[in-house]
Amino acid sequence: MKKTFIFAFKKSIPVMLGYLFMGFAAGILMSEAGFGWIWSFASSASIISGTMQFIIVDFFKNPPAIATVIIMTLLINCRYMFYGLSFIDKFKKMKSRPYMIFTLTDETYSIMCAFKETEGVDLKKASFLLAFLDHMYWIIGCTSGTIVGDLITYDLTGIEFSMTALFIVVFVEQWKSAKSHMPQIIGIISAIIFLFVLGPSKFLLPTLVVTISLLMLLKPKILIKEEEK
Amino acid sequence: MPQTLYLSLIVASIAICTFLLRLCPFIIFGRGNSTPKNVIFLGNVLPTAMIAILIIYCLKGDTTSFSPNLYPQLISCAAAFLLHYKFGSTLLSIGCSTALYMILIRTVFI
Repeated sequence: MKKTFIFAFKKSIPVMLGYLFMGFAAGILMSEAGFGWIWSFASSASIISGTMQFIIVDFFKNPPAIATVIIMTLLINCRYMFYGLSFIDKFKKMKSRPYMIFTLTDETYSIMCAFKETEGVDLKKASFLLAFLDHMYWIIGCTSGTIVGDLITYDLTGIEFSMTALFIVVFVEQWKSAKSHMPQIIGIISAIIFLFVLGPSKFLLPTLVVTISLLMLLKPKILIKEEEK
Repeated sequence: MPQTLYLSLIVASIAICTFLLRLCPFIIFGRGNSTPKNVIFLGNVLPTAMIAILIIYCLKGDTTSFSPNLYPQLISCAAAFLLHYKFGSTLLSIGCSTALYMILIRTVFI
């Protein structure tokens, strides 16, 4: 059991650093927006999604209609629909299956994908421990960020730009690793066009509909590029 | 509706939707069916398109009105792009571009 825990803990170290820092940043934004640590605690514990944790601060400042909240969540987090595909069999025999599904994030997913059979280590227990540790890191990061943010009296106006910066970082990494840049270009151009045509409050849904349609139309071209070596 | 209740509703909606999304494959495909190719394709490309759209989403308020706040944002965005393209360090890219933005709105663009 001890060996399994050490194995899981070592695997979780990169996530620990990432989640503590990113959660802390999201927590500070929550504090800057004027909301207490309880909100960070509740949202980070129940949602467990980096992007949403940043966007929820925006939602708190300017609460949109629930329908908008739901649609945005479905579209931003739709990638979670696909993570489970790789683990349908692996999770089947686990007693903690609901919890494993609940806590499946980008990072936990990628680390579990890379798990190799190791002597003396129960991979199922290790997966659970990894999921649990990652969950704890995230909650601790977000909650402590808000607590510290409340203690800082220095004017942190402008720190909300870190959300934009985060998306840019992810964009650049995706750009570097993708063979076809069409999805990203389609996304940017559609968004800009609809933003100017329909205005900030109405542009998102049409952008998403048109983007998905264009992606399906251009699927053959995108796939050809992706398959080039 | 009092604010606390509405915000709780927002959190609950997001939490439930996100959990349902994570649950999807286990319900739909758990019975051994193979995933449709279109679903796999969208699963690969949608996230990348989504992030691109989200960047514009972050800038939406200031873009159409060409408000003075747009320009420090664009400059800081450019900084984030260049820093990350060149060095690939998340901490450096986010930290420096955010610091730049915070400095710009206090000095150059008031």
